[in-house]
Amino acid sequence: MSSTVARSLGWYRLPIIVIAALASLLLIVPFLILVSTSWTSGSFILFPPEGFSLKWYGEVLSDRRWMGSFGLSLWTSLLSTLIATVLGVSGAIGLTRVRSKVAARWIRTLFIVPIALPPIAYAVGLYGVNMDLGFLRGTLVTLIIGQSLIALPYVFVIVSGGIARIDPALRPAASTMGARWPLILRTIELPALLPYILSGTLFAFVVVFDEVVLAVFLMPPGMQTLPLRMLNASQEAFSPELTSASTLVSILAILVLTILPISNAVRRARQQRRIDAGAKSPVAAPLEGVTE
Amino acid sequence: MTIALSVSDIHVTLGHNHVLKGVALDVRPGEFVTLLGASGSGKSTLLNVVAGLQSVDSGHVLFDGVNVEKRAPQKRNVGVVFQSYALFPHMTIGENVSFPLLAARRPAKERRAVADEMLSLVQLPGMADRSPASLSGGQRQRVALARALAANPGILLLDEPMAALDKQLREQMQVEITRIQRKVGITTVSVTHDQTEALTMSDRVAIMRDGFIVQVDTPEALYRRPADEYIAGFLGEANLLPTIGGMILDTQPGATGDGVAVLRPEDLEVVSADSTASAWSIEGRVRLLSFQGSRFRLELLTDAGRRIVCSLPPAADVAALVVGSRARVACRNPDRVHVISTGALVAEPVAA
Amino acid sequence: MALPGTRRSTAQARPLGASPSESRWLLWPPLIFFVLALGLPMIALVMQSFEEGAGSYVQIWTVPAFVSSMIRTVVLALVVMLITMVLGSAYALAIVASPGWLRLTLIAALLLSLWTSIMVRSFGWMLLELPKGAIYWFLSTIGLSDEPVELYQTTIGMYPAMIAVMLPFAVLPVMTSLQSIDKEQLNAATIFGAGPLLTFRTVTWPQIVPSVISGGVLVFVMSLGFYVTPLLLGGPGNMTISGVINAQMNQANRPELGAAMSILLVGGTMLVYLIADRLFKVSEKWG
Repeated sequence: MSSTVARSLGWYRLPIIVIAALASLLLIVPFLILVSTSWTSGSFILFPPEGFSLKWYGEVLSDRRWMGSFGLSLWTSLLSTLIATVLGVSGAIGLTRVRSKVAARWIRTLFIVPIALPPIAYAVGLYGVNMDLGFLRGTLVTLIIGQSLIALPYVFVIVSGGIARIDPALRPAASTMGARWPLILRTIELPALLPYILSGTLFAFVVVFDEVVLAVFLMPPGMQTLPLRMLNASQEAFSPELTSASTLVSILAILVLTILPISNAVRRARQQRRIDAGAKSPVAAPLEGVTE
Repeated sequence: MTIALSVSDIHVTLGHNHVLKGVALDVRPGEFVTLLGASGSGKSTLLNVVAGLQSVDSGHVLFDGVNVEKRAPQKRNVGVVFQSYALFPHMTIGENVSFPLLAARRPAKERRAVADEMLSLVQLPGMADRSPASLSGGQRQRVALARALAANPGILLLDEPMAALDKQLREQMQVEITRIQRKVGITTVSVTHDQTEALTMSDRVAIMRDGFIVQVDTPEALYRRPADEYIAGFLGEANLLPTIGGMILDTQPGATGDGVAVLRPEDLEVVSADSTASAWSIEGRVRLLSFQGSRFRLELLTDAGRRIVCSLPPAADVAALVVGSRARVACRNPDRVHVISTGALVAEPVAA
Repeated sequence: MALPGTRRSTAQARPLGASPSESRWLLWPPLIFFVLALGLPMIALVMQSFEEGAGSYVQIWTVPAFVSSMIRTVVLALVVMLITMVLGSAYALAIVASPGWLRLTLIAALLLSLWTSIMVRSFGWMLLELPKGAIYWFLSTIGLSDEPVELYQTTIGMYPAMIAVMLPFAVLPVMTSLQSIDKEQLNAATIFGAGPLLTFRTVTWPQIVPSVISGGVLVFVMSLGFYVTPLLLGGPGNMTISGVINAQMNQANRPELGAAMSILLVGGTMLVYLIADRLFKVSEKWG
């Protein structure tokens, strides 16, 4: 694959690769710098860090406020992601049942719109809803609903990608065998989409966990999600607790998101080994006499 | 500007696969040679080697005696018709056809003139301003051919040219392409897995298997005198029967004699049960008799369990050939029988 | 003659195996959710903006920071879009054309960016750009300069961070379409003598242009509404529209102005998104 494209670039290949390599530095270096300042033994965020100590990780992990925020972020993000997943999968599958091409296009546009929605305008609007519907004031309902909306497009896009890969003949085939749509859904489509649903859910979770603008406007006083605490910490004293917390959260996200592809790869390798072992048995001798 | 092509001792390894294992072939100027083989035989890889799209581990590719195996594909002056034609969708037909001249920086007037000339050659005059999407499959193939010939290349390479066409169009285009090739007189190498196509279009056919060329010959010679059982079975149907000392041995499938006789179904005729006129006869129980339009297909099962296939002319007397009855078939003309001696049951790779 | 009560089949056939109740069950819940989750806040915004009368929409233009922030935001979004389109295409090309180890590194860097929090990455940029931050350390270590760096909380300071944050969104669609590029066409161009530029122009570019544009539109639209990164790196002197809205809500305590600005921001962003979607079919690349 790549060799054909590589050859087509001719001598431009090298400069392009160099540019991309430099761009990758742009992507990695800031993060590395942040990580390095978290193991400082001093009291300030400095680059380069003074000494090496993991004490700030200890500080963050033992600080009730940080851990409290972490817990709050965790369950609000989980809830929002769950809602987004159910609705996103439902919408992605439902879209395939729509007859009119025009309607399908508009629905698809709608599902993707939240990515383009300016978070602050949305936050202000949700805040207004909170004010107007007094019973919501002080609850996390609007926050969770807002976060669900933000997460929806990510689930939708990834699951739609998976739907495009399913053999379109499976559904009509199943219905000719008498299966009604809930059964088809449960036994054929959802299992086939499972990896995409998982991947979409994980990705949406990471996005929602990071969400801070809604939290700024919608968190009741006294409660702070983790990103909100981090943001406030960055405006006040620049303590290494902040960078330690950032590093921990990032490591967690990376772990969560690499678990899926790694376990897939392990599973596939095991399957392949089984297939190779089975294929070693001798093939039946061809028919003698007439060959075609 | 037609040239002689020669490849020698070509070895190509892709990943863990030793795809070409010392392939050698000579093609005379103006000759049409087809590489025929099943998938995995290495035929497409060999074509890519000639085109320059695949590098070789060792071996030589010579155009008119000059080593080109290290030359970039852009500089080899070959024309290729790709399996899916690879026309550029955003260009008109005329621009597609004159693309090789555009790459060679020829002036616009010359490009237009050549495009028109090529399109007339492939019998698509006046189509220069159409788009590829508006053409049928057969038309697109002709445009691809026109483009391949536009820069007056030394060699024409065809990569499974008929694969995308339906049966009727295929037969039509086989004739058409052969006609154009003869007219232009360009050295041509084609790749296919379809033996009818190979036999119809080529001056010579090179049968490939497992990275070797196992036999190169004219279509008729390959059909009449295959070098091994694989080739015999690959080209049309063949009854392969073990022989000893020139006589058929009707034994269980799997037994071997000192040779294998190749009896083509169309060379067998029904003879009377007690006739021993021909050494090349065999007897069995009728298993199937079916009318196929221009021929009858007769299948016998011998007592030893072999299946014999015969193709009988429409005028043959088939009244006695009832399923379950016994019948004897023979080839009366011994020249039509080819015996492969056991020593060469698997043909050695050849260069030709 | 049709029996009473039977439905005449419509011109468009229903997809095989589908039933009407199915679409209802599957589509209505998310659509209703959208109405509530999107519609209600928009209504609230409108209502809030009119709380002190329709004059709010006129007054916002007198807020000094508003106009300048609008210009700054649009310029930021445009420049970031253009740079990430070019850089993103190069990055995607490099991923496809690199030797194995480098390709893995490039992909790893990309994934790292996508998976880590935007705020965390912005903090990293802060650390780089602070007057005595990492860039200063680097320059003074190699002896180029001893002066504190003036990047933090400047206009220019926002750009590298925004580009780095947005780059993955421009790379992904191009990378996807490069993976399904028609290789035979590439080979054809090569065989017929085309050099790299002609091949790119004839084969590669036409096949990636839709994804380049779709990535660019997404970056543009996201940049318009972005809050965190410009806030952290541009500082109070370089507010984007989001920052101005925030100021109206939380500092100046003029929520009706904030709401009016929000309506304009949402309206403008949606307009751009819908027009681009019509023109370039952006949503189809992503769904």
